[in-house]
Amino acid sequence: MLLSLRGVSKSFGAVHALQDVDLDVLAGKVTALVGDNGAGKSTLVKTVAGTWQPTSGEIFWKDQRTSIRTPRDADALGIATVYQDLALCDNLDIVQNMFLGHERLRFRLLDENAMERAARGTLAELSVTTVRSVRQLVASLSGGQRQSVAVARAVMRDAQLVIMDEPTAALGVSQTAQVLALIRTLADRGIGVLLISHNLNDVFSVADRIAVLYLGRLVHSGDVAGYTPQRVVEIITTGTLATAAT
Amino acid sequence: MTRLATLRRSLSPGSIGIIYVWALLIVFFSVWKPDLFPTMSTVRSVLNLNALAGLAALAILVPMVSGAIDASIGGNISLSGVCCAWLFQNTHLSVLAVVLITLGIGATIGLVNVLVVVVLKIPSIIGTLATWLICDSLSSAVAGQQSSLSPPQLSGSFGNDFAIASWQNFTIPVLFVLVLAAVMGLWLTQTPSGRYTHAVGLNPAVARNTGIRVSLIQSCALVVGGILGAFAGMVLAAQYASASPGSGDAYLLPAFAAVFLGATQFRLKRFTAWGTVLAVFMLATGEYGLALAGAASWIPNVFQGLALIIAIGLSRQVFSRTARVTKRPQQAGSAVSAGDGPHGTDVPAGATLQ
Repeated sequence: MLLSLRGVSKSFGAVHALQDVDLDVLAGKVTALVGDNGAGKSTLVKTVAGTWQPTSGEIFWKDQRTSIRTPRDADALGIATVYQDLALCDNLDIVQNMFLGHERLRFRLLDENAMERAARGTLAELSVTTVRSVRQLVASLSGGQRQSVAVARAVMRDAQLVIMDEPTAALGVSQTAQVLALIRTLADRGIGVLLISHNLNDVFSVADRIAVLYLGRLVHSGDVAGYTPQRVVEIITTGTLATAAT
Repeated sequence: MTRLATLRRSLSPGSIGIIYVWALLIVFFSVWKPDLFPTMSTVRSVLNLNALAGLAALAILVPMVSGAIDASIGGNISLSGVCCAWLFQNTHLSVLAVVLITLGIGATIGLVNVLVVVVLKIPSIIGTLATWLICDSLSSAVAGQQSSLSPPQLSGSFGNDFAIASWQNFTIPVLFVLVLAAVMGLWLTQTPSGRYTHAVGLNPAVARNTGIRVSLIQSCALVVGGILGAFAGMVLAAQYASASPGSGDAYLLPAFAAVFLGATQFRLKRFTAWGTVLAVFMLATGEYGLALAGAASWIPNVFQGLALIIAIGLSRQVFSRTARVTKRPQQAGSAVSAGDGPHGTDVPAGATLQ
């Protein structure tokens, strides 16, 4: 088990954003986390990413109890979060973004050539072939390319868990396909992926496991094979599966 | 991209416009005042008279890169200059001790700015205007009844080391500016901490997600800015062999003009050390030329004011253009293809992602 949450709750004053959540994320598998707006998906992501602390409950990393107090802690464990719009610095170029916080040095100064080579290598490894130059600013990239660069950044850091927050929300059809292929590549490399998505087409085309949040509670989880999109929609909207027996 | 194209791009007016405007100013004034303007003494005067403005601009550059506007620089220069003079006048401390204490005062001003901007999270432009006022008033309080403090030490070895020493009639503050710009330029472009400071200033939320200690970096930047401000205050006191309350205020707006104008330069449109220094001396050349040409005394100030408006106008345009590019991925599909910015044109988005 790569990451396990046991009884995790998070309250903001009187608002219980997460209540008693148990969640397992496996290495080499894509776990999809679905739920309606306000179900607690973002809160859960931010709790694992170190932005927020759980009010109660335990987090296990590789079966060891751990606490993730800051994004730095998450980074040190090998958890990388690819936020929808806050993953990359627009005014830095691709190489600078991929190494931000982990620059390579030569004579105590930045070793741009080594970083550029490594960035190119990682992008090629992930079959990201659409960026024209690794020295262009991230601001000039398309949404799909931004996601690709953010993922490549995580891979280059040897992240073992990549959390992707609505990676395809702003993308067109071909870019979505590209990003889903990239997610599959990650899982095939043995990396655990936690995919937060609204789009059940994406979920059913790429995920191995599925977990459904409803009003802050994790109401269903299991292999994706055990669900159909219709049933998942029912769980998302009602929190239960009335037709389970049929 | 070929090397020639890179060269052409880095020499284009959009990239180094200041150099072209500077050249135009030089040609213009040389034609207008051929006997007075194109001389070595003009070069010396422009550099010597504006080195302090350069130091002030570099002092606010560091917080600026980290995303904090430090308007307290005017008050900092006044207060640290007056304190330095007061220490010479009223104590028997050695020059080194006075210098260190004064730098400590600058660091303290920086820490107060940290309290206001980083801890209390007051918008930096408002918070540091307040600390400016406080520093300014304190400089009057330290000076007491005197309109200026002129202890003899200010023109002794201290004055020599901080202002008077010269080589080929270029005074030592010119050297300070060039060395500081070189060090700062190297730090900002070639070291991780310099890059983090840029990242914090450009995208604080992203930087935080990346694990960069945003508050720590902004705090350090404000303290470094405070120390450099105190250094500028000592140079000012040494230059005039006297320090008076409020004497630093005149350096506030020119410093911001230079930093913003400097940020419109070079490919990446960021705050840079060399861009800032170039802007200081370009503006100074214009002012000096106007003064030589016998322009009325109010005209250089108008020039300065217009330059500030144009500089901030240009850099705002640059920054809002980046912001517009940023929004594009929110629109689905063919996000970037309609690019019109300097770095928005290159990728026909939907088509390339096959």
